[in-house]
Amino acid sequence: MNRETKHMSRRHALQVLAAVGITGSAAVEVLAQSGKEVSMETLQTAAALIDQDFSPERLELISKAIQKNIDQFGIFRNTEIDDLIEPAPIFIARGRI
Amino acid sequence: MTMQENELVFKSGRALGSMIRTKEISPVEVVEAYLDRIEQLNPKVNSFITILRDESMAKARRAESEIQAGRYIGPLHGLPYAPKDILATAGHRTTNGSDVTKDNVTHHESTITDKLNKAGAIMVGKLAMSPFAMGNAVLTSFGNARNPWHLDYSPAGSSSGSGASLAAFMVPLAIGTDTGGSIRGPASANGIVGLKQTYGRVSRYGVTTLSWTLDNAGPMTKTVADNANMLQAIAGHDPMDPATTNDPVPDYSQALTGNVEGLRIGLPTNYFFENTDPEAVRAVQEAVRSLVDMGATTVDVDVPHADLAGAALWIIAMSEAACFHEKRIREDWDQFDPQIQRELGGAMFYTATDYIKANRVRSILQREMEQVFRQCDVMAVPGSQNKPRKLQTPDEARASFDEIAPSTPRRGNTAIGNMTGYPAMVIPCGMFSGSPTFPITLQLYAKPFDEFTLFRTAHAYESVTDWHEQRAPLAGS
Repeated sequence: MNRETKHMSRRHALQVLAAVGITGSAAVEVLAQSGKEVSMETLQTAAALIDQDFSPERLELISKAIQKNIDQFGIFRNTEIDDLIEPAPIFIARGRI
Repeated sequence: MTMQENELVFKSGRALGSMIRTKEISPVEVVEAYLDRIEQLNPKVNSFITILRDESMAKARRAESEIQAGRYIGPLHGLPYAPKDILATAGHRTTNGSDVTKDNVTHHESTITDKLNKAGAIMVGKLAMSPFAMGNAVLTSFGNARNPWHLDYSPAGSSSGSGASLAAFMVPLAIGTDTGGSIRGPASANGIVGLKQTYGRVSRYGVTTLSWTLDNAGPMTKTVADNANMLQAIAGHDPMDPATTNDPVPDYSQALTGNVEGLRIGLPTNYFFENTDPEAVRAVQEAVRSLVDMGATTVDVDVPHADLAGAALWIIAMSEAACFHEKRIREDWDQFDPQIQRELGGAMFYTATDYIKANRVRSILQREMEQVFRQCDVMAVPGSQNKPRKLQTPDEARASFDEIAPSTPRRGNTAIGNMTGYPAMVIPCGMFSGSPTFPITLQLYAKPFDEFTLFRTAHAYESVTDWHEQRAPLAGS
């Protein structure tokens, strides 16, 4: 499969949806219905990049999770975070509140 | 089973403990009553993976001798308990609910079970769960635990056996684990009390990892007082778990006063009440009104980025799980259930940037929760959002596999507790209408290491309602 489709950027699409009152998980759902599809070829290339040797059957199974992730994590991936925010890799109890 | 033993299993742990202390009953009678009930009901509920009759009866006889000799230890002495089968217990199988580790005998003891054993509690078996706390049990050789409110329905997960066993009165005290809601979900689906305490309050040593930075193991009980007694026994610093703190552990029994005068309850104006069954919303509002009638006040609060908690948590949890299981993914792939295969395989393709960004979201959520708790002492949100789902057969699960979406962003009501480390407790506060009926629960959050206020609030509510006394009918197939 070698489909090439022109999309507006995901962030732009979310902004457009927000402007007409569709936000949060509802917006993600809308985008999921028109979203990009991950091909097996793309996945095989990606697996090679991370030095993983998945069989075609495994990649087929994994592709479903990756597709869900693209659909559902868009709202997360498109969130802009202020430069001052550092990661909190764990809950640090001391000195809070 | 005699009538007397039947009645014993319906008493709270606190009531049984009191009767044991005064020698009105013996630990032998109590443990035997529960073992009989487990053996009677487990073929239907499927909530125990391992039952330890001989071993627990021997311990009960020893406890009886100790108490008769005047060596009573405390409120858990002689009481039966069962941990989710993800806690290592020396000399027993610790299956993690997965075929990958179905014959895995552990030779070390988790700190939690060690502390419970030293407090005199008696482990009667080990409880069913979602495989490795994230998979689909119906696709394993263990099968799924069933919901005692209707056996055709799910008890939720991943601490499915803990929730179901409590609702079926098969054990008075249980331990579950919670990485994104796995104590609070089953507590809601089964109508019991579940606590995810502050990260660092209880040791994770000996608990098989799902996510190093999000995992918690905590008490699941029928009543708030029993929950407080369990946390009292298991809380505290552990040199084997560097995340635990040296903070002193308060006397939680002092929280059980029934007094909430002056308590400030935060009610979120965004996210937490969305996509929730109107009956659950009404029940939570009614519960808050009960607390206000007792002297509490309410204040509107806001967690602006709550909608990011679920997605960010899933990225962190699955990234850490994929790293933890890296060798097993390579060598034991075929023994994982397909849901785990899919999620861990997918997680291999998350980027480092995704993971770090999720931890920046964690920073944002921690700051927002700090702001919330400058205005209130507890935050009240729905524990239940909907009725439990109907259980699938293995064939149905495979047929509808593409529709299984565990990586849903709609996890925020519980995920925010794991993402921020804040403690949260679920307690029954109503029943859904219709047939079959299921419990509705209230979820309370508090400041870090302020489980005391959770117990104070939940116990006060419990003392003026009887939702925690509702009995599951064990109906269905």
